[in-house]
Amino acid sequence: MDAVFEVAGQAVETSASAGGPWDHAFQHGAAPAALVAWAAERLETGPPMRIVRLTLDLLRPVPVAPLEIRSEVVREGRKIQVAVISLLAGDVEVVRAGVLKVLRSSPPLPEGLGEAVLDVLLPDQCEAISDEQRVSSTVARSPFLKGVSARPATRDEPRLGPAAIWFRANQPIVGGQPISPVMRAAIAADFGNGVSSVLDPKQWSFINGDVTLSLARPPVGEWILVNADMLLGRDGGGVAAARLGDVEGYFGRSAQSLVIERR
Amino acid sequence: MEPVYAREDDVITPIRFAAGPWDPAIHHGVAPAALLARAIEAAQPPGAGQVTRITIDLIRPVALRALKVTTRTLRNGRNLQPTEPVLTANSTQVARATAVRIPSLFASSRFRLLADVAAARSDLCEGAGTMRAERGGPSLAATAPCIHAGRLRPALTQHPGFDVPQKKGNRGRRF
Repeated sequence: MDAVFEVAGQAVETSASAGGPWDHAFQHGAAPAALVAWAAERLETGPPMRIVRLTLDLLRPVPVAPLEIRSEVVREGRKIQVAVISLLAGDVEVVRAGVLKVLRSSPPLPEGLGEAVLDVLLPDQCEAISDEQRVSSTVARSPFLKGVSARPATRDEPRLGPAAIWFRANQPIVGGQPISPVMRAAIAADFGNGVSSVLDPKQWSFINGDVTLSLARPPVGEWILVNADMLLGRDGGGVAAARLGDVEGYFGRSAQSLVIERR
Repeated sequence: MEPVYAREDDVITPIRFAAGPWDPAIHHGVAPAALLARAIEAAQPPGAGQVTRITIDLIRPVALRALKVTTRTLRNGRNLQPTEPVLTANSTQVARATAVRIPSLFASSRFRLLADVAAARSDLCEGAGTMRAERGGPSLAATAPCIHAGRLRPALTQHPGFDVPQKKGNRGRRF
């Protein structure tokens, strides 16, 4: 299976499989989110650190075209690293991402404190979403989503509003490189609005201008749970937010700022 | 009421209430957060849209010293207007924010609102003075000078705090 991106140094080649739901010439937000997560993990730190937060500002639609990755460490601390990663198309900055890493340590926490167990079915207890269901969904007509498996995490009838869905990215993101659990979480973080829309996607668009991923602990495995809901303002703004989980429980949160427009 | 900051031209100096709970010489996170939010609002032209997200990077501890804010607009798009204010102390970046703003084009649209407020409305809650007394001493957060300049009201009658290990003279402090 070809990868979504081929990366050589700072230069990125983008395949058509990065295409998004609204216009196939522009990428699904999950594709640059995964690419930025990959670049963020490769930023070296002094002491061992891990990513606790990624925020992508999707400054402009990201074209399915060659990109450049630029990284800058804003602060190299003893306990934290703050970095900015930009994606450029030509000379234009299309994505600007903030990365926060925190020192890995093992504080002697009381057993079980701060852990959150799942309140939905595990991926191997769920049925796959059929091709029919996927084709009937406007949002699912994204080339990028062809490389992603989805399973509803409850037996509820599909409907608008809050929903819990498991996702597994199958298509390699960066050529020759595994998809890390953080990259998987970054992909899932951009699915919150698609999963939980309270508006009919045939009549409304609710594109996100950003995506934020916060990780209480590193995710594990291939399946990522997106348990999402959506809040709407009355002035065209809105927020889709999700609890993110893996087979061991909830590990983090995601949020997207929405621009609501009538189609 | 005494303000948290004094401003002279573009220099902003904390007066008394900016300190946080961990170190009396270091800002509470909410004080620079409010400064950055103000800078984001100040950067928008009159009639511009609403801020839908602010993310604040606390790059390093913000000492209680003079600060400067500089703001740039990353893009002045039709639908999105991301802004990036940076807080500096002695020319060193100490905090930065990124904000997403969208234009208020849809003020007349009617959307279904899904906000569930499980807690009580703030005007129905008792002040935090009661909470502190009940909890057997101030919580860690409440010891910060910055918090003395604000008000707290627990919105749940069953406070979902947890007990911390008992210390001498501390009756099951919760926070």
